[in-house]
Amino acid sequence: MTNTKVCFIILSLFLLTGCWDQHLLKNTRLIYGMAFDLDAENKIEETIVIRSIPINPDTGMANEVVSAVGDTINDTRKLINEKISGEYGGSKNQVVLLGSELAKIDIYPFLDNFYREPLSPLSAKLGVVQGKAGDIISLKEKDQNLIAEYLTELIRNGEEKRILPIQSIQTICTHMFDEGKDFGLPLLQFDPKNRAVEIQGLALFDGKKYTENFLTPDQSSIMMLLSGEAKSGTEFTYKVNEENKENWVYNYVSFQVLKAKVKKTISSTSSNDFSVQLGLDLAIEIDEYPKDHLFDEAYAKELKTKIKKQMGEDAEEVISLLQEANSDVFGYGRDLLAYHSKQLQGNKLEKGYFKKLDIQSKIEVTIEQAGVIY
Amino acid sequence: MQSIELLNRTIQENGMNKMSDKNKITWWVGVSILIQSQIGVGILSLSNKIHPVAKGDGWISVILSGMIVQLFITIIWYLMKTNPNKTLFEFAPLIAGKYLGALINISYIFYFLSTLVVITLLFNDVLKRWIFFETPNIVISILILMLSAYIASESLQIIARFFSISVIFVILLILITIPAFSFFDIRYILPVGQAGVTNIIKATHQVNISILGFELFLILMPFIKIKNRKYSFLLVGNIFTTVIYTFVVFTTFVVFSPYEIKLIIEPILYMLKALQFKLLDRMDLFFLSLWSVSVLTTLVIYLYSSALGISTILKKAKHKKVTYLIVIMLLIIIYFLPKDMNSINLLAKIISNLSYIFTAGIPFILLLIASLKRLFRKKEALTND
Repeated sequence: MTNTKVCFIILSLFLLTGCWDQHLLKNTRLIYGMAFDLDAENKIEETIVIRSIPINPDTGMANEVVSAVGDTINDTRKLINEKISGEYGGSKNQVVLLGSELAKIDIYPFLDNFYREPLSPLSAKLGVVQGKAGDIISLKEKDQNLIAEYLTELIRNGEEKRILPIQSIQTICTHMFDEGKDFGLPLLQFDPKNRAVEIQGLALFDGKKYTENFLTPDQSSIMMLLSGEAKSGTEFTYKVNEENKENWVYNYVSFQVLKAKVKKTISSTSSNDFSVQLGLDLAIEIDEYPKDHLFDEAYAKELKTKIKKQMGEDAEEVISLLQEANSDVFGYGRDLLAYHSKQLQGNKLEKGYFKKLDIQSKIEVTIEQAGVIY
Repeated sequence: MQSIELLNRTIQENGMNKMSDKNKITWWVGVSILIQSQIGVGILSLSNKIHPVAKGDGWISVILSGMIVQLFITIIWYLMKTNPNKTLFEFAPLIAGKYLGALINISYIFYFLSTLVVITLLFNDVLKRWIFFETPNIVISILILMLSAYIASESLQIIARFFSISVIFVILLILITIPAFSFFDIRYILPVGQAGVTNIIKATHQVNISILGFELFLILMPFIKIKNRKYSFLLVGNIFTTVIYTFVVFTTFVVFSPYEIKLIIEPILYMLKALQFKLLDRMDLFFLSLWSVSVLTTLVIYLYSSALGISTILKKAKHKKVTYLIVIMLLIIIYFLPKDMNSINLLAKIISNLSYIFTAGIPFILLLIASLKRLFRKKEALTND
């Protein structure tokens, strides 16, 4: 090796020692959850929770909650940065909560920063809180669980139980900018007396606004069956009898959906008027039915019709609720644009097209399994 | 006539060392060079650029553009047949005359060099926005250009070997995007034909400028083994690139809603950023690392071609020193160029609009002159008889 080469290698070592873009964990305070609220003067209040490691290792992990009020998200971030000991690190954020007052206006301005910054986590969960979102974050801990973990698990569990659609900040963005499809976000409720948080249902959005209407968890499950998002695993409990007054448990049946099949046909009656025939075929498994007697075919048939009837009523209620809120969670607008654009006036969807749709639902139920006993 | 023969001889003698280089490259390596020089910086923002024009039909524009490019490639193919053992730099003076030929050569070198500048700037711009917020532009430029010079200063055989291995990265690049199909909605691109034929054709311009690179075969063709020099490798390479580009555009179009795609500059990266697996997060960073290899190969092949051009004009046998000199010159230029969003886009626009002259215009005119000359020579021979 020549001397020049050796010199070059040694000299280049000096260049290789540093890096401009290092984000050291020791300098960053990792944010695990955040909440946005509207305060009395129409300013944004941001509450964040940081995981901190206490000096005494026996106490385990702890949380630090910081909040600040500002005009924009970045403004509040700046103020928060002045209150915490280290750099604001949003890249590991798991959950974002929005206060209902703020969600009513328009949620995009509060999320814009997430979409713009390359370091922000787009797979974080979103939720709307009935009342003030910051209160939930301020809990810090919920029965041994750190609040951010608790909230993500709560939402994720709802998704697994088919109560909530599987969503993240990114999937919302796609639908927020889609004129032919709306979305719903988990609606959380906080009970300050018992320090309890629970899923109240699905907050319905029209475009970028929260409509103040929501579906209960059961209604949300039916909505997901109707939209074809949930194909199996949804659980329901229905009251099918009135007879037993003393042993009231005998009146109920619990079942879960094994297979759900959606058939929809959209037809146009006249220009700009459309009707949707929505057929839902369900194969169910009885999970709990103390009354038994399912070996009796006539009896099983009766149970089936009862389930079918109630489900049909529920479905109609869900559809009317959605139409009232003008929240096209089914994405029928997309269908119209994609397959019926010729019948649309000017090839465009008119405002409130979803309210005008004539949606007819028809549900078929078959009892496929009943566990190991009849 | 005599002077041309003389010039021809001197060029041949000067190129003797390089002649040993020639006729060495096989069919598959030829394909991989074409793929690697076509796929580059453009792949990231292609969807964002064609959507405003062609709407959901952008993917048709990509296929159409692949056909247009194939036409350009065919022109180059026939032009290269007139002088099978010479590069453009060697035969341009023969066809167009001494002075015009020299002008053509110099303008091609300028075109290659400015393409290098644009690619480096765009590469810097993406890295700066996605990963390295603080790192100075010039550092990234030094790293990528020095690395390219290191490869480009070798013989084409060595470069080609690197290219044929790195095709794996292109395939990985595509495999990585497959999980994004979990959020797909085909209705975003329906009904097919919504944008109208004129808009679909208009959008091909954006695609054309992203799959440039085939024009380098004006220089590289003589290096391919005669018996492997078949039209098929140009066809296969171009089809491969077109399929990959169509796939990328199609994927981003069905994942993002129409309005959203207008907001996102690099849809393919953005799509990967949102994916989360049990162990892996931020897939966009994996994509960027693989994509860097594709950018590197494009830079290498442009650098090699321009170095070859300059050394042919200066009548130098080796291009190693020239390569490093070019890189140093480019770095100085890049250092002084403005680097804001608008000026980079303006520069890219100018170069890409000029590219039609170099990819189709000049080759076509040269081919015309060469075939007319041959026709006259035949007539002359007939009358002499």
